Amino acid sequence: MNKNKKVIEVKNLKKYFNVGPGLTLKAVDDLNFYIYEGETLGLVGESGCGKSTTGRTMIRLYDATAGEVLFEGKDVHKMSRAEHKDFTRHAQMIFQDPYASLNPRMTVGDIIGEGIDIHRIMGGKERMERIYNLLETVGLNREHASRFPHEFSGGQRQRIGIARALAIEPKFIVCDEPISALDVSIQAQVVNLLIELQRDMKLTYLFIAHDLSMVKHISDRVAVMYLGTMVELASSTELYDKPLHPYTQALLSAIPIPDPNIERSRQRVLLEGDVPSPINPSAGCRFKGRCRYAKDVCHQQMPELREVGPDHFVACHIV
Amino acid sequence: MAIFQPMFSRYSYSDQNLMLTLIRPGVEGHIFGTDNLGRDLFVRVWVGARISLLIGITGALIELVIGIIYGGISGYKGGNVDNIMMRIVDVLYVIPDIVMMILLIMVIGPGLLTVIIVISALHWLPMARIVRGQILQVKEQEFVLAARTLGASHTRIIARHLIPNVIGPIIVRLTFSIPGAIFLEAFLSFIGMGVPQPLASWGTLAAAGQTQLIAHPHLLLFPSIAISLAMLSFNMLGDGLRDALDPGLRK
Repeated sequence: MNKNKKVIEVKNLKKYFNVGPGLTLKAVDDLNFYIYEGETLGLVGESGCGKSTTGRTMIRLYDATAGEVLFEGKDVHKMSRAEHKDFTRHAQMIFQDPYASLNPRMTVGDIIGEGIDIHRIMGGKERMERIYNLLETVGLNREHASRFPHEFSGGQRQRIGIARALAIEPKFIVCDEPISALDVSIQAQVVNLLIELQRDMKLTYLFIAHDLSMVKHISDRVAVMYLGTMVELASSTELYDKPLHPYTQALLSAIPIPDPNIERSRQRVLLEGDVPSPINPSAGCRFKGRCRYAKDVCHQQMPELREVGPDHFVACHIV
Repeated sequence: MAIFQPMFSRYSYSDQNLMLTLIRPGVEGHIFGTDNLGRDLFVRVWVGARISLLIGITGALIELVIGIIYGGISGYKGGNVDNIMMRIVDVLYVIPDIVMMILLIMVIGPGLLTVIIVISALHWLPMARIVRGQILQVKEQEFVLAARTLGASHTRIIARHLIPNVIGPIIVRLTFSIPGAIFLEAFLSFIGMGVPQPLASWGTLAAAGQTQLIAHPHLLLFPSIAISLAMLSFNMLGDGLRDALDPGLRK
């Protein structure tokens, strides 16, 4: 990890969706963070909190409502056509559902080679050689290139998705819950593959997930999201040892401990109620309704993300 | 058969022989017999096949092209473009078919071309809806997002990712619409708005035969068999095509 160079920086990023007259779904609301070169930033939060939207907005699959995403200093959302095409060579994405992310009408070789074709990097024999190499890199055989996606299992399909993202040698990859659709036995394999690839190819990851133990395993720093806002950001050891935000504490206490004695006796922080709707949220802290420490100030003012320790950021009035 | 048979027959489709009207099949070299003007039914069925198949296939092709372009744009663009385009389709949909047919025929005048225009004008509407629905479904799938992430152009996404994945239901719809077009043409001929005499189509033949069903059933029987066989073949062809285009079903 190179702490001197930020590969991607997100500033006041907002993404709203219009869901009806006068109804705005604030999927991502005022996010600020950055990722160093060669780093893995884990992004966790429960379903519907805007994790995937953040990832997709960062690589301009969605247009941002406001704010900037700076990739090596350039705003992704203000790029010209040619610049954007160049950007797509450097930023890639691995998708959540391995059954939906591969075109069923294309052979595996064509799927992996698509990026090579689009950017006209190489052709003919060289291209096939590269596809075979990629297949072997992700642990498949070269014979698999002429087959169709439906002949593969979920884990193998996810490997194909990884090979596709790697084909154009990107610097930055958004991993959008790459393991949540896989069997537990396969999850570790895929995560280890990702770690290996990061080491060999000096990749930078944004790792989106809701499995906290996996995130701890792969991430250098972890960001916790709640209803479109970031509530806590710290290095993964710090966050897991000393969670400060009440929401992070509740999340972490949900991880079961593989020791029945401790598991039976420990106190869990249980959250009351459901996640409120992100459509037209009321003023104040987003977490106030479920927070047991909520005070008056929490109902009036949205807490800002502030540094409370070295590289430890929290958005909470109480901490 | 439809192309060559009429060229080699002893009889032409319009030759009349008033001495030999309404004879039974197989007599005097008339394999299917003759009609009330002594015209050879075997030849007329094959001439009818030419007209019916021409109408069916061109009608379906025009419907396919318009439907894919219209529905494709509507589905791919989405949002307000989609709303407006689909409301136009809805408005056209509520006009009863028969009114539309009569209007079009009054404007253009009866004839073979008119029949084709009428059929495509009626059939592209459901086709556009089907294409739109399919495109809407496929375009949000992750592999399309993946292609966009890789920097694929709109043309590339449409040609390589969307069309191949929506072609199945379109083919199925098409195989239904060819027999549908043949039927519609038969109906138009039946109400006197189809192809003019002495040209024959399966529809006009069946319509003519229907009036003499009790005394001379063969006049209705042979064109009906031809229509049924054609429908069956198109359906089987469609099934085969769909399977051939889907790698998941290919072994």
